[in-house]
Formats: sequence, C-alpha cells, structure tokens
Amino acid sequence: MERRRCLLEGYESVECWIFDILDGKRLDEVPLPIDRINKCITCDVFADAIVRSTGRRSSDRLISEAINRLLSIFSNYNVELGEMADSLRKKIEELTVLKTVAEALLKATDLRSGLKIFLSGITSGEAFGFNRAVVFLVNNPRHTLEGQFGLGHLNVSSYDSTWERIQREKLTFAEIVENILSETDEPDNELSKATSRIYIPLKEDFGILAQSVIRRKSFRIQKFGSDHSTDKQVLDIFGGNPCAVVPIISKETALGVVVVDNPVTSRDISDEEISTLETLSYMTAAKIDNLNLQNQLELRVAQLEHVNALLQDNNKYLMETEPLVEAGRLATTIAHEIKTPLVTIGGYAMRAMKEHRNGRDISRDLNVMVEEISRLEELASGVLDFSKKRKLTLETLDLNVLISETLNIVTDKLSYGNIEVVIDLCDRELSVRVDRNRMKQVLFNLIDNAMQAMPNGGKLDVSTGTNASYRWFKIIDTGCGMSKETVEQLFKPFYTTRSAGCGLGLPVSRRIVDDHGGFLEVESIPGRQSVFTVNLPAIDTDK
Amino acid sequence: MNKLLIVEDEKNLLELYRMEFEEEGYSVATAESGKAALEISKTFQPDLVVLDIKLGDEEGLKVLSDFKHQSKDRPVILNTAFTHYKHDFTSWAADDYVVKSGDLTELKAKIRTLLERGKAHE
Repeated sequence: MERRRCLLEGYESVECWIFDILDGKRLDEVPLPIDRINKCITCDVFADAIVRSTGRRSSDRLISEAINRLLSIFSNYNVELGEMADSLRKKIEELTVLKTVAEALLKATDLRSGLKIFLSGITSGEAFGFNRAVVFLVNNPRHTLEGQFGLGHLNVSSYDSTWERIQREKLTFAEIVENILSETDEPDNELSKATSRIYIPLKEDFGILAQSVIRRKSFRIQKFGSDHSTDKQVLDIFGGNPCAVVPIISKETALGVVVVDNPVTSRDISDEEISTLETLSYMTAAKIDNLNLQNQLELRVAQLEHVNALLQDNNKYLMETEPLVEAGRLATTIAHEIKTPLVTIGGYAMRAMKEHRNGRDISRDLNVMVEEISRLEELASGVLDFSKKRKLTLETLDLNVLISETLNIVTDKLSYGNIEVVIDLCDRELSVRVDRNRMKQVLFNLIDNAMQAMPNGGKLDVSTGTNASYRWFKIIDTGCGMSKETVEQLFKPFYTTRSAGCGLGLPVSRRIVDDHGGFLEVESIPGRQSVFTVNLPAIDTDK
Repeated sequence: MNKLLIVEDEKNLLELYRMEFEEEGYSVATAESGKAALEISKTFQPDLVVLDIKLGDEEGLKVLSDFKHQSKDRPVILNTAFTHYKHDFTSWAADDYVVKSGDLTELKAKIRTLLERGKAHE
C-alpha cells in the first residue's frame, strides 16, 4: 500500500492523513493534524478526495465524520477564546475602574478625603462593589492600629443614611467623589462610629488585623472566630461573614489596613479581588505618603514663616537699638579718652599745690596741665566734628585748584619731613560741588596720615582724575602700610595706632566725604604703601 | 631702698609718677610699654610693678602673666582707668588694683602695704 507524504512545506516528513482515509484506514487510527488542518482543507489532495469519494460510501462517511470532529475541536477552541476575551474585558473594566479611582484619589487634598475616596472606590457598585469597607491606620507613636471610618451599613437590618442615600439616589462614583471633595457628604455613619472606637495594639497576638500590618500580608477569612483572638469590637462588626483584610503599604511600611466583606450579597471574595484591592491599597498608600509630605512641607513653611517673622521683629529691634548701642560704645570711648588727660591734669595740679606750699617752681607742672588741656580741647572739637552734621557751604570749584591750594600750605611741612611730593593732576577741569574748607580738612587729614606713615621720609603721590559719575583725588604714600585688620578698624572713632592724634581724623574725613554724596576708599599693602581715594559726585559743567 | 617699676603709656603721667615716687623715697624705673617693662625688669629687678591696663587689652593681661612668670612673689598692682578689671578673672593674678586717678594717695598706700607684707614674709 502506497503511503503518501504531506505536500505542505515543512511537513515533508509526515504522511498525508487524507490518503490514509482514502486507502480505507479507520478514522480513529488516523491522527488528525490539528496544527495544520486549516491548510489541509485548501490542499489539492483534500479537494481530490472529496471528488473521488463519490460512490465510495464508507469513505464518504469517514470524511464527513472527520470534518465533524474537526469542527467540534474548533468550537472548543472558540469557547476557550470567548472565555479569554471575557476575562480580558473584565480585566480592562477593572483597570478602567482602578484608573477612575486613582484619578479621584489624586484630587484628595487631605488624608480623610483620600481614605473616603478609597473606600468609595471599594464599595461603589460601579467600581468594586463590596458591601462594606472599613479602614484602620497605624498610630506610630502609640504603636496601635486605630479605626478611622467605614463605608456601608453596620447591621444588615439597619441601613444607615449614607448608604441609603447612595442606594436611593443611585449616586455615581464621580458624584460620590464630588461630595467627598466638596465636604457635603453625610456625617459619620454608624459603621464609622463603631470603627473609630477600635484601638488594636500592633502585636502579632492581637488578631488578624495587626498581623496583616506587621507581616504586610493580605488575608482572606471565611469566618472571624475565637481562634484569631481578634478584638471583640472587630468581631461585632465582621463576625460571621467571609471577609478580606488587605494592608495599605507604602515603601515597605504598612500605614494601615482595609477590611471588606459582603454581608448583603453574601458574595465570596476571590483571589483576583484581593489582588485588585492590594493594587488600590498601594495607590492609596502613595497618596497618603504624598499628603503626609505635603503636610510636613506646609508645617515647615509655617515654621519658616514664623521664624521669618521673628527675624524681622528682631531686625527691627536691632535697627532701633543699634544707634543706641553705638552711642553707648562711643560714650565709653570718649569718657576714657577724656579720663587720661583729666587724671594727668589732676595729678599735676595736686603736685603743683604741694610744690607751691614748699615754695618750689611749679611752671613745669603748669605746662603739662596746659598741654593736657589743649589735648582735651582737640578731643572735644574732634568729637563735635564727628557727631554733629555741620551744614555744608557748597560752591562749584575745580578739584585741581583745591588740591593745588592745599598742597601749597603743606609743602614746607612735607619737605621738612623729607617727603618728596609728586603731583599728577588731570588735564581737564574737574568741577565739583564742595564745601571748600571741609574738603581741605579731608585733604589735610589724609596728608597728615601719610606723613605719620613715613616717619623717615618717602614719596607722596597726589593725583586727580574722573570717571563716568565721579571726580576723584588719590593720596598714595610709600609708608609702612596697614594690615587688613587695621584697615577694617580704620574708620572706627578713636582707633589709632600712633601716639599723636585722637583717632578721629579718618572717621571725620569719611563723614565729610559721605556728606558730599561721595565715598572714601582705602587700599594698603603692609610695608609698602597705602592709597586713599576720595570720590566726589561729578556735576554737569555745561549747565 | 625699694625699687618700683611703673608701666604707663602716657608720658606726662609717667613723669608725674616718677617724680612723686622718687620723692617718697623709692628708686623708680619707668616703661612706656609692657614689652619694654619686661626687658627693664630683668636688669632692674623691681620689688613691685605698677601696670597700666587698657580696656580689652589682651596684651596688658599677657604682660601681667609674664611678670608673674618672672617672679611670682613680686607684687603687681594694676593701675587702670576701668573698674571693669575688678571682675576680670584673668586680672586676679594681680596683687591689687587701683582705678587711675590724679590723686595718688590710694596708689601710694597700696604700694606701701604690699611692700611691708612682702617684708613680713621674708
């Protein structure tokens, strides 16, 4: 008997079942090639067999039987496919609901509304349709699990208002969420009241709720019983019904637990439902985390605002008291500056009295007293110069002329001190509005300082110039220079590094320059030179 | 003859002290700075030091402790314009304390007391 090979590409090694049947083989002896049957139907061999089967009854019957069997296999496949499509559709629906609840959760602005949306998602007929849901949260400091609220009725026989209203008004999930967010939802129902009274210590032997949190694991319970050593109050609510306990987990930490059951419909809770609840719990936990962060942030912002307010108050206080503190400091310094000459005068006066009694010459004592008194006078004028804002008698003059005039007066003194003067004046007129005498005082002070810095002689550079908004003059000495610390102290009243002078020259000079709307700059290289620059506001000479 | 070393940066005042204490019968050396005083002290070997200290004068307090290092039994009197040092812990190393005044009676009395106490100890 001739066996024929399959004609299909890739199946060359197998034998054609159609030939087998045509050759009279029993149908149950022929394995039907389910994997390529759709191709067999289009094969020429199949068509030939149908044609050739005319008049051969037994094979006719077998072929039709084969076709029947194939069709039944196809229909089985079809049923399976249909079931798969159903389950997919369900999954898609479930995901759509999850998405709706997730979107609603996003809108929650506080923990309470977030949890309520979560429970509404669980219980809404449109969404997951559990009859009841109750949420507990971990209280970390107290290490307890505390009942928050629930959605659903407390007893099957006593529908509470919220539940009734939802049932009666057939509120959609979106409407429920809207109510929660606008805070127009009903006050706490009986279930919530009962729930909020429950405190469970977070220990393994305190029942299934505590265990769920500690182990971060979901449980499906056929019936709460004594074997779970569950809290009496939990038993009062859920006793007798099959229910599910699902932890609300965020970043490995359980924030709480949700308990659901179906006392009205008595519907069993499936593994798929628990897994969906877990997903929903994760989303809610993320939201709770977010809200907590937001709360912390708000708290921090409030704290910062408080600190800021304190700082502002403090600042105001400091601003108000600073002049007083400065005045006090100044008064102390002045008192000390006065005290030394006073002590000296007093000492010499007493000595003079004693010498006079003994008939000795007291002219020396009197000389010292006169000297110390003139020192006191100098100090007094300095203090007055410094503290009193004298009215400036302003006139427009050329800075170059002012410098030349002043230098003429001190030339002799400078050459006596073995100091070479180099003058480099700007070749254009430098008009400024100044009080001639006050500005000369500044120049004298600066030149005097330069001389003090060069006790063994040196070079004094005096130059003038201009920039966009200022006319300036510079005094550069080749003296001892100053340390950074000295420069910082330089403008403090009574600060002095030398024996002569009372330490008011530079503070007074700066005050005068400031009064003219200008500024005084200092640069110094210790051991080499100091540069003092006086900048005065430029005035428009064209006007 | 007891030897006094007086440290004071005011020339006129220093001269007054010198004249007054010489008339009291002391041998007087003067110095215008703490550093100079420590140098003079090595050769002069004073029996007592009168030291001027200014407000916030770290250097002055350092000089005080240096004097005490040189000889812990030699009395040092702080002579200062500030009452502040009465309460300054670091100035407790001094044997006595006088608020600077043109009237030298108190200073003279304290010098006498301290020198006599020193003698009694010997």
